Amino acid sequence: MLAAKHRLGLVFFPAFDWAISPSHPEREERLLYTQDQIFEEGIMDIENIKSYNPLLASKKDVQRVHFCVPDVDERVTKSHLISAGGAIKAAHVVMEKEVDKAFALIRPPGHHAQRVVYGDRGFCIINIEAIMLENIRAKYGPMRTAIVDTDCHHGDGTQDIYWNDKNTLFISFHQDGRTLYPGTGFLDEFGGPGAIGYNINIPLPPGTGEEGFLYVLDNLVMPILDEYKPDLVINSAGQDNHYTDPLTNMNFTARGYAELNHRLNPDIAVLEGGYSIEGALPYVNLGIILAMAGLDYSHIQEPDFDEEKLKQSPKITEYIKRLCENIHNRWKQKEQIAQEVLKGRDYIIRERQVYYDTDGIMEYQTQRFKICKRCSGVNTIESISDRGMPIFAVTIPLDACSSCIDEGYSTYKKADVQKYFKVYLQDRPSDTFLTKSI
Amino acid sequence: MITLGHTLSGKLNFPRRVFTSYYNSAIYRTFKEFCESIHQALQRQNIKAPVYILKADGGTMSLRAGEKYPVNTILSGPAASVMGGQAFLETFQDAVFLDIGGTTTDIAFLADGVPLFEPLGIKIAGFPTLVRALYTVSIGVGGDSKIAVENQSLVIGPERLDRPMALGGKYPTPTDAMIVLGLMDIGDKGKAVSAMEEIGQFLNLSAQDAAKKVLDKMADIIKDKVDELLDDINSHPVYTVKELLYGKKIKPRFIQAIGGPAKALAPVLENRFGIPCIYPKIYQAANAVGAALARTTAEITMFVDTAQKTLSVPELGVYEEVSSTYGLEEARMRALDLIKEQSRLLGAKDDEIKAEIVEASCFNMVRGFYTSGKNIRIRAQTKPGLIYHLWSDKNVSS
Repeated sequence: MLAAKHRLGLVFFPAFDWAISPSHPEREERLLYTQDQIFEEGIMDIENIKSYNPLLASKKDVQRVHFCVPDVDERVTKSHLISAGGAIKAAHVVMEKEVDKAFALIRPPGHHAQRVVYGDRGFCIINIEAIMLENIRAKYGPMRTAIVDTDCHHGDGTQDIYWNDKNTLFISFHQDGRTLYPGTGFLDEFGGPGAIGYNINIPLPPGTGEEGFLYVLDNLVMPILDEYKPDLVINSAGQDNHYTDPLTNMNFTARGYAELNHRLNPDIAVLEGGYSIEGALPYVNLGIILAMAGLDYSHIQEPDFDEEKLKQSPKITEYIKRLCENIHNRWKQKEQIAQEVLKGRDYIIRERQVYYDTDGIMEYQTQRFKICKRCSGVNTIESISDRGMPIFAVTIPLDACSSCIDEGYSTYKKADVQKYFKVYLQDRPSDTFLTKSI
Repeated sequence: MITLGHTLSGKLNFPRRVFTSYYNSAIYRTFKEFCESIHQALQRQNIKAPVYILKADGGTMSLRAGEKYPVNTILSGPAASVMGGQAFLETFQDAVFLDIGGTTTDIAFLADGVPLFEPLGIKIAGFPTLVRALYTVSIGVGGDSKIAVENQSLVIGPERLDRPMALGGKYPTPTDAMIVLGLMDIGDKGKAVSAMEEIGQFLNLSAQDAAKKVLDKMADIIKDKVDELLDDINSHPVYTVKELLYGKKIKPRFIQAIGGPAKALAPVLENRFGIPCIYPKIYQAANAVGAALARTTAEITMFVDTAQKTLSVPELGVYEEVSSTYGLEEARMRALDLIKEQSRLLGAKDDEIKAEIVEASCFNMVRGFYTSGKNIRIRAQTKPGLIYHLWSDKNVSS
């Protein structure tokens, strides 16, 4: 019988009874054909491939990452807790060394969910990778981690969550924000004051194909990862760079995704977007499974695959080459850039508007990061949505020094409950979460 | 003999379909010869009764139908035992079923009183197949297992070397222990005592205590395996939020044991499992009872695609056109008709066909941003059951 070279854990949870709405791309049937493909290929009979059911993520798991307005119970459904719990299960079996790698094929996705959650954006409410990562950091201790997001949309939620954390390097490949939702993910989004340079965006032009993706991986991502030396590599495996995806304009292939996964060699992959449920998902998911298991994926080919049609234009190839040089140079100069940005400042203010496209909510946010020499610095978010509900949130980061911890608590105490709908304190070192309101 | 894989099962799994088809063709000639011999033998005896053959799913089919799908008759023995147990049992509870033999013990489970199936099919000689089968797991421990003492601890099985010493064998066995404790009255008790003395010697125990220890150990082995299997079964993959949150978990409320040592072991098992252990009055012959009373079974898989306007049932070679408004309810009705037809073809009598839908799902297919049709999938079966029950010969509690 066929045996996988790497022991692979699969959390396959298609949630056949959950949808945003009956004809929404994020609907019951999304992983049906992927399931057919996995079953028909006999994947679950392969030696060293083991399947697991999701856990149910807890409220505490969510609160390590998010400020849900008004609270977790109100914003987050059981389906979301299962999706996050699926990612957590995948990470646990890797951490416990039951398997070498794990792939969580779960839905709904999460990479557009930011720290504050007023509603659903980009089909995401809670950030499943972040919830997974913070769960295992709480359980197994600190971990230097790289998250490589290969979804076609910018992983703006994950960027926001790890904006100021240099122990989490976030790299996002995506279609240029000038041409696609969520409209962010440019080079100058380079990380908060405690982590300048550790947020890397790679906005690719529409029409990028196999050649371009693998070029970026080999010439930019891998050299940066070699330098960063993460303990753990997580792949946010969105599959909408595929040439059949209805929402995007890229030319990537199933075999290309498998090749990318093979070269990136992540410990954990978590499914994100990808809405070509018949034309792409069965083949891309199969490719990733085979690549992670160390099995031959060279024969994976979509029925309508046409090499000539998917060939990348020389203009795009040239553009990507220059883009990679540019980004790599910025990475090499991150210390100088940080010095210039931080010079003579005690804190950095970041004003933003966040649009929740799925729910049609606009949020107005001010993030304030303390610049601290001993840690990544206590920080706060003041926010209000166009439906009201102003909040104030304090985060004491995991690596906080004692004075930042004290400052976090005093800022929380001083916050005026009359002024806000709710005030939050996320104390990561002691893994506690407090709220107050009138 | 050419076997068309899709006629054996409509379940998706290419490698299993290949192995199943291979086995079906491989045993075809042997099976055909066997059938002919049976027919000739019956003819010679002037027996005109219809002939059925047992399948691994606890059901039967006519010998004629068997000639086409002989692969389904492989490993039907353990299934017969489970069906035999059912003949004496009227329950809607979860239970463990044990067929304790001389060499092995077969373990099966009842969920709400119904025997559990293998999710896809049994493994034959290491290769997974699509042969529908009751879930049974065999472990190498039984009445005639070899007993050894290694590093001051007792090891039972997995091999059987000989008959029990009380019956003239050369090595001590659990059956000898049962005889020593007065739980079984066969053979030469003196020889059984010396068997247990031999074991006791290594453990500094009397023959009586050694015998008790042997049976306790046997119950331990069975209990450990049952727990392991239950963990496995209760974490089987689920694909809906509802199942994950509220899905059925099997929690056995009692044990039903059959086979030679069943009666003797019942009190020991009861003690070790902490739940009642019952056994039928004719516990030694339950397997044969199961084989004799099993009903004809069948299974089909139906796929409907209303965008393409097709309905197909691979097992029956049915490919029909349907309207674009064809719905789940119509599909269910059609599936029930077809499963009845299939059961008749396999030799079932009309009054014994209990057809049911096992799985039914209906997904909207969306192309672009519009619903283009429905994707309906149905699995229907005539479930394993018995022609009649022997409830007047019900189980005995230990």
